[in-house]
Amino acid sequence: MKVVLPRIGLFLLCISLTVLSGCGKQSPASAANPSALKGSISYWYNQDWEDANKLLLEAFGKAYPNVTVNATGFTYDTFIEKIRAAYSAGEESDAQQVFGDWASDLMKHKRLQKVPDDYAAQVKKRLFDTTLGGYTFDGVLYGIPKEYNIECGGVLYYPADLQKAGYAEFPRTFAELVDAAKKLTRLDSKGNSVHWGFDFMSIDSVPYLFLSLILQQNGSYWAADKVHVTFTTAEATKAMQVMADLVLKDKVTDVRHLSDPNNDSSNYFYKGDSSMCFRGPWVIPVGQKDFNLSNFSYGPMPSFTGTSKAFAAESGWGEVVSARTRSLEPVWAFIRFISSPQSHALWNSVTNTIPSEKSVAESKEFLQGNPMLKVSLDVLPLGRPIGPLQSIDQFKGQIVINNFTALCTGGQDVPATLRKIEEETNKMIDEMRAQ
Amino acid sequence: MSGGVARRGVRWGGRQRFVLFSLLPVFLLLAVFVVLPIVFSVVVSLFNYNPLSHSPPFVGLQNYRNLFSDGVFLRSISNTFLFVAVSVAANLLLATLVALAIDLVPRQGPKGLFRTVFFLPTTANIAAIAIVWGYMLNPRFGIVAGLFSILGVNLQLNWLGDQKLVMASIVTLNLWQDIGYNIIIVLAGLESIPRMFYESALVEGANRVRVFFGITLPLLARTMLFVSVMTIISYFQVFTPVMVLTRGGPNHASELLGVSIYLNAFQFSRLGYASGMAVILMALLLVLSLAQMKLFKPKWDY
Repeated sequence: MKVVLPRIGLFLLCISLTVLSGCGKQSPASAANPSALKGSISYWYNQDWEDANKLLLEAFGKAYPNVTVNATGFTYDTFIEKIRAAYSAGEESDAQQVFGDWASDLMKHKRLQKVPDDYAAQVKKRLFDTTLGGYTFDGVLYGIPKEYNIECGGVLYYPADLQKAGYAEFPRTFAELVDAAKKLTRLDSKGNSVHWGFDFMSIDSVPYLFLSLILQQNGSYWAADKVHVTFTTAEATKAMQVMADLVLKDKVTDVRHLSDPNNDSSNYFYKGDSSMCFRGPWVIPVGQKDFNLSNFSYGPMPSFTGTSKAFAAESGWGEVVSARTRSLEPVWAFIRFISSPQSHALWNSVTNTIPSEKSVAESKEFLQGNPMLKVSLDVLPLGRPIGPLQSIDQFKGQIVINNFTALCTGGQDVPATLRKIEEETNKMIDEMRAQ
Repeated sequence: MSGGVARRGVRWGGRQRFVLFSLLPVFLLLAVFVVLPIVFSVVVSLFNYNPLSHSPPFVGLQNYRNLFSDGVFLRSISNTFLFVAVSVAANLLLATLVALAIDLVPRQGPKGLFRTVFFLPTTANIAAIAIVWGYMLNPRFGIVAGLFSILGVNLQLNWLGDQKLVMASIVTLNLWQDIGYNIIIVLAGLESIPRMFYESALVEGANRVRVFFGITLPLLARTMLFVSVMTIISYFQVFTPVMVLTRGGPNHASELLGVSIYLNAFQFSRLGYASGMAVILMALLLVLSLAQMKLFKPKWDY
């Protein structure tokens, strides 16, 4: 309840601000009189963000009473297939809320309309550079990111568990983190873990931890041509070895639930199966709402090297417009409205996502409404765009996860794992670039 | 004479037209929903095809060359063969044994009850069943681990997360869900065998084993051929339980061809590559089915 009340206040404030300020005024033609703008547009969005999207749609309806938005929500798993099939058949909606990784394919094949120059210039000033990467192709901006997709920087933890391990505060160094994790891990008589001290077994966490450990050593995973990757470096070897040690030597987690598509690592955490869980902040509302928990917190992931907290990040959810839309003015009025700083504040607040908008990330009001996000907000300037991997889904879900599993189950050693990740990623990059 | 031939010719021509007219809808359906997709799939497999691309590059047989040097694809083929071999053998054996046992029940009431009980899992939604099994097999809070715990055995086996166990788990789930169909079909086959053969065998003093191998099994040959061909084809295409439970993991250990095709086509935008896989799967099924029908064609009938 402590968390919910300030948020409700913030929502009301945001809605009021949004309506009063008339976000649609950015659109040149509709600036003077939004109610003069008429038309009908179709819009597809991610159903996971239903509450936030509906608030924005309602606010837009009030500001632009003569523009009808036919909005449809899709679940994450079906959405990308729907988008690809629809674009292929010429049946896509005028605008869509897409994930950054999906936008790259759409941009490459010229399916999206570029953001109008004046608006692009404005957006580039307002938003974090890291978030724009996934919506930029050949230097041109094709979409407006809503969130900073950060999978690093924070750790879910139970303060009571840490106190039992002798830590009154969240560990400040990587060595302390491993020490606490070892103390909190429980094994049965056969050596099977029955409770994980530090869990990072998710499709997002393993690849992002790996990349962040490389970056924190001032390393890079991009080859000299900036097109292909290199994972056979000393930094990558050290990063992979540290992760393997956490599983094989320290035994603070294991890969048993890594192939479970129905339970995220955070679900295991919320069920009490782990004391610390390396996960992005967007899972926090799941614990608060779905599991009705208030006994956990979100701590800053210590730097691996003690000096750098650099991490790789990709563009999260954002708004794009089909290149084939015939409702140019209404659709851009709509995008401008739902991508205004006020709308972004509302959307990020409801979805508990990290703002792409610098002013929202820096606002005290936003932090007051979302206190657990402080950990993530503090490290935002240290984010590095993940780079042109062509298919981040394939890189994470297929290449890194499977090779890491093979490493942890004795199928291959660290050098072989890195060599295979490098080869498979470069093969994927070449193949997708040729499409 | 000539008039008679002409009349017959006209009559035959009319019948031919009638037959053609009657079959036209079926041919059209087959052409649109079977032949065209197959042809399209073969054509797409010759391109580095991404549905979003306006002009996908033609790559000839490159997708096929890549497939045969792709460790993941080769593993999915070996996984599929292993899955089909074990599942089909277990399915046919168990289905026959259960059907024989039910056939021995003398009264129709209990017989019908057994038939219903064994058929019941096949009526349930496979995705829902897979989710339930996923929870049952969870090593930490699943009922299977709980049962072992009650028995005093600390057996926290990771049924779905261990590369050595995952295939056995999926085979078991699939058998449990699917075996009812074959039990019903084999039972129908058993019931259609004329009783006089058994009566003659008993008069001749044959024991049960002799009767089974000398009469039951040979006379079930047509049923078994049908059951085995259909089971093999459907098991080569198993998709849902794997997608729900493991998505082919861990480390491709449960990746069957159907799953591999889906992942490549829809998750990784490699539609040309996935079409190549589908063409290979189709060729495999065609060859296997033809070989089966040739090798196991019953040599006699009743």
